[in-house]
Amino acid sequence: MKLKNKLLLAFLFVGILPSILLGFLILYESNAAIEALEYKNMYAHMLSLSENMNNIEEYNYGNEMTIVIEEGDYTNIEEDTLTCIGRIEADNDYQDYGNIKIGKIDHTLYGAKLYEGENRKIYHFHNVIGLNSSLTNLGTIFIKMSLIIITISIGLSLGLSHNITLGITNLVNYIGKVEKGELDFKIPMEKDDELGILTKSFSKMTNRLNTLVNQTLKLEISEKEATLKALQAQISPHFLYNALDSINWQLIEKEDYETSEILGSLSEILRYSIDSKDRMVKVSEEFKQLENYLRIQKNRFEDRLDYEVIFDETLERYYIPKLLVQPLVENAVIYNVEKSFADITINVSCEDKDDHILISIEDNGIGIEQTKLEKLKEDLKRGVKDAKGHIGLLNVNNRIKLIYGNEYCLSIESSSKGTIITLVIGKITSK
Amino acid sequence: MSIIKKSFLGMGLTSIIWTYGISHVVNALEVIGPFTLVSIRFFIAFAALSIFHKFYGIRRKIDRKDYYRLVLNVIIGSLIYYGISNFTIIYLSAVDSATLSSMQLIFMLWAESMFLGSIVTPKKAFYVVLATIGGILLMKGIVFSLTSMKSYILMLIATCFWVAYHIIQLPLLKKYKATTIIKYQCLYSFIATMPFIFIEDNNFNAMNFSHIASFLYLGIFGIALGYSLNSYALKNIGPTNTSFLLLLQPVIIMFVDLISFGRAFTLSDYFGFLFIFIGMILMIIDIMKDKKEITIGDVV
Repeated sequence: MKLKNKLLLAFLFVGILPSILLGFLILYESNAAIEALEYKNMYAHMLSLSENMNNIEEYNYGNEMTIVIEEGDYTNIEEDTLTCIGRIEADNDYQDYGNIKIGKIDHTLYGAKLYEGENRKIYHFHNVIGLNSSLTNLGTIFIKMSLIIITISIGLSLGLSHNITLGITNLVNYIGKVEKGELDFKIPMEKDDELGILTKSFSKMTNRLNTLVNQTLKLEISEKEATLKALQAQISPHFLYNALDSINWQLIEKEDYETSEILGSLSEILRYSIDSKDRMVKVSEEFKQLENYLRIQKNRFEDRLDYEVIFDETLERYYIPKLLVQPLVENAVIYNVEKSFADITINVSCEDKDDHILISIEDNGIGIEQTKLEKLKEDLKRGVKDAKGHIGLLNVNNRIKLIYGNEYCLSIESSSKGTIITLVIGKITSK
Repeated sequence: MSIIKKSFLGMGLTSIIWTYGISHVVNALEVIGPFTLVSIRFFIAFAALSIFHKFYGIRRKIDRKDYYRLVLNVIIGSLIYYGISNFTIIYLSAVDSATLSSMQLIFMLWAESMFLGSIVTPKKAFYVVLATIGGILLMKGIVFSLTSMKSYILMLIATCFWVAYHIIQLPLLKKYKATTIIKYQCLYSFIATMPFIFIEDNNFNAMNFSHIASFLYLGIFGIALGYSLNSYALKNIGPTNTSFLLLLQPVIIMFVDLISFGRAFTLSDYFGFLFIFIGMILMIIDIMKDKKEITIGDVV
């Protein structure tokens, strides 16, 4: 049974049953009290009258009337009354209840007592119309009150159960949404009771979960994009395998050690790029692959490209995200060596700087135009990917922020003398 | 005219029909027993609906799997409800009978929430409580005796059965036309109560035209038309809203008393009218605001 239904039943029984029982009790007690009161009054009258009165008298007290009759003296009593009294006497000397007509008025007889040895009879009557009227009023009030109490009880049971279960029902609905994977919704905070606290906590938990899921998702997408880009741009497995195969034949035929060295570098890059086991690699490993990459490019561009990769041995035990620096070095080659005829030097270095690592990629190329540089800096600040270019830079920047937090970032400085890209990242000692 | 307006008008008409039905029941019971009256009423209603279907065609027959629900409806709505209410109606005044019947409003709301899972907001509960209390305030004085007390309690029990009858009928209304259900219900009710014609102490010889007119009124208008309109409203505006309009019954009786017998209204009567009026207006505004609320499709 649902909680709401349980509450409905509980409130109903709590509200209605006592009210019905109380109603019956009041009714019973009222009835008994009225009768007791009547008898008490009657006997009090009879006793007082029997002591003080000798002649026949009628005493009217509203709906009540007492008649005291000296035995044998019926002269002042109307004929109807005499008939009635005569009938009562004939039936019984002592009656508890009965209706008689005295004059033209109906009376309910509540008691007729014959006092032995007193030579008189005392009768007590009650006006039947008056008595019935008071009892009718009492009954009507009882019925109306009972029905009103029942109605209010049901109304309260409905209202209260709705109020209590509304929060729970909403919470259950929210949990159902989360179960289905829907996390991006707002939970209104209405109450400050225990349920409100529970809902608030659930809301916080959902928001946190949503943020984490979004972060993880963004990170995954970012990494995939980086990997994909790397594979598509330079290190397509098919291209590399074909190239390797071709070079290998050349090496075999010519015993060319220089080419062999390049082949080694290429193989390592290929292995490093397509190995998806580790998301985090040692800084030294990343730098080794940068050297391999630059060696290959050096072979391609010969004297036009010079490079230097400086690795700080103190950073040996730290890890960085795989292929984090590679796109930046790749950019330096593409934008400077490929697009100009000048001799280019690319320096890649890392440095242990207090609680973070500083990686810089420096070239002496053509630099970036001032307006483009400003736009790029703005995009980096906002984390927006510009479809027109620099996706690699923004991608790296986003990865840094997602992995290390917003206080870490990528910065870029450029002039006509060259460009310096600096990465400030945290120190991570395990994968 | 929208379905909601049609339903309201239909229930208004039903209230008038059923209100006048009380005096016809009292008249009919002068010569026959309560269950015999039930049997005759349902037979006349069945005949009337059969003629209706002859001219307008019957949409579909009741599926075998729905028979248990129909039979249960017959037992609760015809045998138990009518048996009890016909018995008690002799001892209660017309206005009190109608008022006690109008208690079904609050019972219906509760049953709807309990068994159909309808959402009952505190606001709606308030409207219903207000109107029901208004109905209770219209009650007249009662004769203080054990028999009348028993009659009040029995009438309340009958009202509970009437509520159950509506709740059971709702799924049937989703599948069939109201007149189809009522026609079959009348047939089975007639069959079930027919033995009482021979068992009960009936005085058919004392029957006159007035009694026959009462039978016809109760059969054709009270059941065939009244039940069909009630079921139509039940299907379109839900059980509680349908019952809401039955509060018109005691109001109609009071006004008939005023016009016919010149009986003066008491303070309690004025408050009763006021509460019913406010409750009813608030409820109608609420329904018009949100027409989607409580339809059979939502609650079953």
